[in-house]
Amino acid sequence: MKRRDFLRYTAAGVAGSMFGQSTYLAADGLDKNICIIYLRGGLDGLYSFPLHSGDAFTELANRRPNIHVQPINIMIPSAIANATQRVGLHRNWKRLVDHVGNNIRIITKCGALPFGENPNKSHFECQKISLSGNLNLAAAKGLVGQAHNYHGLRLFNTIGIGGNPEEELDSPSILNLAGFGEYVRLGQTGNNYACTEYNKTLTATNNMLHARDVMSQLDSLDGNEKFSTLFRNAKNAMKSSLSDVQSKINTVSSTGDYRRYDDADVPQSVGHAGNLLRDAFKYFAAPSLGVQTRICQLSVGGWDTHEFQINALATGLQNLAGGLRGFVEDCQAAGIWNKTAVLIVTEFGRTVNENGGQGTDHGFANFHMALSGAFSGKVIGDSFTVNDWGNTQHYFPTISYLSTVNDLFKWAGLPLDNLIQTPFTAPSIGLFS
Amino acid sequence: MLKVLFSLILVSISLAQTKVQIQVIKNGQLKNKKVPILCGLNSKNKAVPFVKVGRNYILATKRAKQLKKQLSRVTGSKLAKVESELFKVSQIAKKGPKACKKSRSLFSVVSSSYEVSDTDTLTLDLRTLNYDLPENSEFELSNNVDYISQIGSTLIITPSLSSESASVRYKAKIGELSSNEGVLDFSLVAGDEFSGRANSLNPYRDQVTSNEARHLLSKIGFGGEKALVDSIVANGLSASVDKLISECSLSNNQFKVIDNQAKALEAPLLDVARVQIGGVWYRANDYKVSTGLSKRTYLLHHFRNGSPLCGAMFTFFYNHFSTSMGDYLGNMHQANAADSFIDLIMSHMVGRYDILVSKMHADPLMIRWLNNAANTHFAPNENYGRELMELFMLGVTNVVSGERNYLESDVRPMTRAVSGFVRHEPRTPLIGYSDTGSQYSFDLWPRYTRFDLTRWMANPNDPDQITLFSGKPYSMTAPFIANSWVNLGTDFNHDTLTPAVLYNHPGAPVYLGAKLIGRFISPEASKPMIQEFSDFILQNGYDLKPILKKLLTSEAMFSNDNRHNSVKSPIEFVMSTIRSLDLPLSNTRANGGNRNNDLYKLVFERAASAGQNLLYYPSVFGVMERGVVRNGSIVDGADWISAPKLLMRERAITAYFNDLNLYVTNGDYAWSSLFSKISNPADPKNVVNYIADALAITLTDQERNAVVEFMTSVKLGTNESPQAYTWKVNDPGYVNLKMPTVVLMIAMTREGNLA
Repeated sequence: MKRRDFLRYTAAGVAGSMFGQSTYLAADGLDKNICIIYLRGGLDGLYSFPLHSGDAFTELANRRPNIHVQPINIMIPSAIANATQRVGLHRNWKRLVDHVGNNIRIITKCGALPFGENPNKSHFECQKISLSGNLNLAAAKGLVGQAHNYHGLRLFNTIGIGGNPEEELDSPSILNLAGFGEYVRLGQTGNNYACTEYNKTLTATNNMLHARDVMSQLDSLDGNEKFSTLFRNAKNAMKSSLSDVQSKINTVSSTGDYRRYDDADVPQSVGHAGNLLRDAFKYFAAPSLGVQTRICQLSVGGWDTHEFQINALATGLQNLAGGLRGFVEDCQAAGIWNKTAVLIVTEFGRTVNENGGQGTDHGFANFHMALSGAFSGKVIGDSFTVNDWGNTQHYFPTISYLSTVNDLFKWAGLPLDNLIQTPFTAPSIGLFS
Repeated sequence: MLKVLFSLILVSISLAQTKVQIQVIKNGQLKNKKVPILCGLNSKNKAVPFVKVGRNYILATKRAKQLKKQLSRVTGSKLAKVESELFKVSQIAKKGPKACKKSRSLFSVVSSSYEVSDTDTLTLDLRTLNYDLPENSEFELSNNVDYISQIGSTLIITPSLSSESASVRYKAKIGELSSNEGVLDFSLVAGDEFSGRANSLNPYRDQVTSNEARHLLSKIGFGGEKALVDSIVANGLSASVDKLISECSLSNNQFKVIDNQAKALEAPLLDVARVQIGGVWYRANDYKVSTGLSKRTYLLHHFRNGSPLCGAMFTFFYNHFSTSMGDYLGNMHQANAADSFIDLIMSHMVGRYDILVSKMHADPLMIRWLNNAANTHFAPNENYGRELMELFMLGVTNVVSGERNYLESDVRPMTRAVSGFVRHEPRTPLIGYSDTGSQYSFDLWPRYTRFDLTRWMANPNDPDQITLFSGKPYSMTAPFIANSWVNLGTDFNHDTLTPAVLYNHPGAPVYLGAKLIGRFISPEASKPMIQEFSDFILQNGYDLKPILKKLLTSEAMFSNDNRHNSVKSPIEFVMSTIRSLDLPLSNTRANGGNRNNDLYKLVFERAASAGQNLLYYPSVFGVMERGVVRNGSIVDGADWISAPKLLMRERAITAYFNDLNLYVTNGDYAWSSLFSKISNPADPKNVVNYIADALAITLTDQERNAVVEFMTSVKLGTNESPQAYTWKVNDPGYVNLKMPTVVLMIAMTREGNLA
């Protein structure tokens, strides 16, 4: 990168924006770690980040006779005790709150904006929107992918961890463009598995090596028919990139010791979310990946709580909190917590009213949560009032989730304005100021 | 393409023109001149003269009257022009009838028979024949002609593909003139392969070639053995498709044979359906309990040996009503429900779609999967009501009109309309046995579901009526499923919701139609074709038999434009390779190894690695296979293609042959069975051609030569160049070294992955 580009994208760019520059911006400007945790299914924000007082709190209790959060189960870190929004965290977050409660920022009433008339709350559409940052769903390449394409520069390295390669989220709309060029899943499946399998063929019999040479000739004859480019690129990536991916995975996997949150009383950084976060830590702590800013996205399912929400969220949130606790402790031990940020997002919120299965149905607005050693605790966004709910089942978004992602990139010193190409702007909410 | 020569037509046309001598004014002088006139029949059937005005012909007498009227309205040069024309037309009107009487033919087009390809469009430029037809000419079509139109003076005729002969019988109506009837006769000869029109649902010719038969099986997705290809060619398209469809029906004898075989194969696997209770493992003494292992064996046996369409329709509907059965297949309490879910799809996959949807409302597994068992009058749960519209009946957007099929405000009433289902009591008891003989009573899920009195419509005086699609022309009030204890497993008549939506909402048949066309024909189908197909779906009451036949026998199916336009799913890729080469799929374990090491398990798991974990789909959205409708467009399956997923396809083929040799055949697979189908397999080129043809792949000369070179050389060291070696068809060692890789490299070409 040329010096003027560097200045434009980092210090100068930040100074010219409406954001405060992070005090943790390192000398090279590009050494931040960003971990976006995507909770598939639509986390119930009103349960996970419950109101702790006021008329709205009382009304919510009426509307949720079986799943209302009792005051004893609400934790209020001191940093947000006086916040006007009167929002706390469910006790299921305890492992995390006990350790870094005052590094947590909660954003209320996030959603897809502008809020169109009668938007569809299908999982598929909303996931596409929230992952692509594009309301009209056209040319979706993922939030980070769009930024990557926008500047045509490899400013950061991206991986996706978790999720299944075969599911709908494993599409070009995820963060699969930069870095490895493919959606990488650390562990025993996905690309790691593919790499192992590929290496088997490379070290297989002479006959197989011979065959692979011939197949290369056949591949080159694909012409310009439909799918030719797709096949050619995939086959080229199969032949060339996978070895590179393997070496990077090996680098990450061989990253030295990491701590695990080890409290016999609570779920620790094991389980699905914990394992993913452990891989994310390895990735952040790994040396020599060729780029300085590292971004990963984790995909964790299980939040579509149409039934028995209390049980589902007890397990889900406690596992997530335990995994995050382990992740934070690992980052602290490695000295990277102050330059690492976690953002937790989901596709939509859930209904204000409880449904027939002691669960909630799809809603419009939701909560986001961010945490980092670089942040002090804060609640951002509008307060809740009884009027929010009226006769409807819903509350509605006032902050675009793109604002939180934009702010996150800005904090990392990545390109700022119009980073994400959408039909509208995503104004800063001062998330990381 | 056009096989009719215009020169032939030219000599065959007899013109209806004649000439009369009249006086004209030229340079202020009267001169005699012969002018052409056109003769036709007036309303009294008398031959009279016509004159041409613009592009039309009208009676000369009538034209004379028109001109007389114009005289009073024009001045200057225009007046002179009208006067001149009136002078001329009046003379034609006067002298014409006599001349017309002598005319031997009035507009007749007499032809000898023309030979024309049955898929050609015959274009006749009538101007070249010195015969002008006005734009408003009318044509009567004889049978066996699909399409005729006129652009200016060009007549476009397309004979029907389902006939052996065709003729165009026409009346050219010119003003008040009726011509003699003209006839063009065509005798049809077979056109080129794959010459159907890309967006036509009209029947393709019945006699298909081997390549076309293989293409059909490739589009269906599961391939077919040589014997099946030969039977399609021998029996004709229509009868063959009938057979493919009927053999997916529960009542069909052949289906019963395959189904019994499949059940016999899965039966021994069922005792691994175990559950741990209090530290003790129990297994059920009931073969109805499913496990993942038994179900994949059951399904793959159908896919390998049954009608290829069964595999296509099962996977289509499993994705349509996508569930992840992982929680159920491994759980003895719930496995019964998983079993009945698979049965439900198998029972209706070529039956009535509306009945399948209706029964899905009451399926025990589905009502748990989408929480509808918790959806009551007192406390609604929107999950099923939403997905019923988004995924099962309508889709978000109508792909033809672009309109949204439902709004968020419809989710609530739909939720009410489907409320009230509960699990049927009492449940089926089942005794399990531990290895030490102790017993445990299992509380199995029911196979059927009933209504509870908690349903929303329980009170007929409910002032808050259910109104779906409010404000739309197809708005409907209070469609519901009967408020009574009805066993929907056997009774369809009480469901008024499903037919109300499927038959009245214009988006419903379009959604199913677009998915089926996208799955079997093209993800880029034209909107008119989708609309035409959706109309056909409605006309046939969602009966999948005629619906599938329409698709599979259509011209569009056999259009060159629709070949290789979508990506096969991993299971289709592996299964079509195995079936088309007539390779075995077996659970026989020749070496007596672990019974899990059979080919059913391997195919299933390798397909899962390549992205299609059938029975364990990741969410209610299923997988992005071809034909899925998302965001107003049809998926082409491109999501199946990425570096790791392609690699897993490659590994699936290599692993198949490894396990085939290791576990199944107790040695090397006998390639002689394949060679016996090939004419002179001693020539490696014949072997390559056979495999490529069987897999419906067109190899270029370069590609063919590259494979042949591989077959006739060996690489003896990692860093050494291949050395020439003689292809020995009778050398099992050499054949077994080369043949799996030959199949692999041909199957893994771009076309090998496409349908």
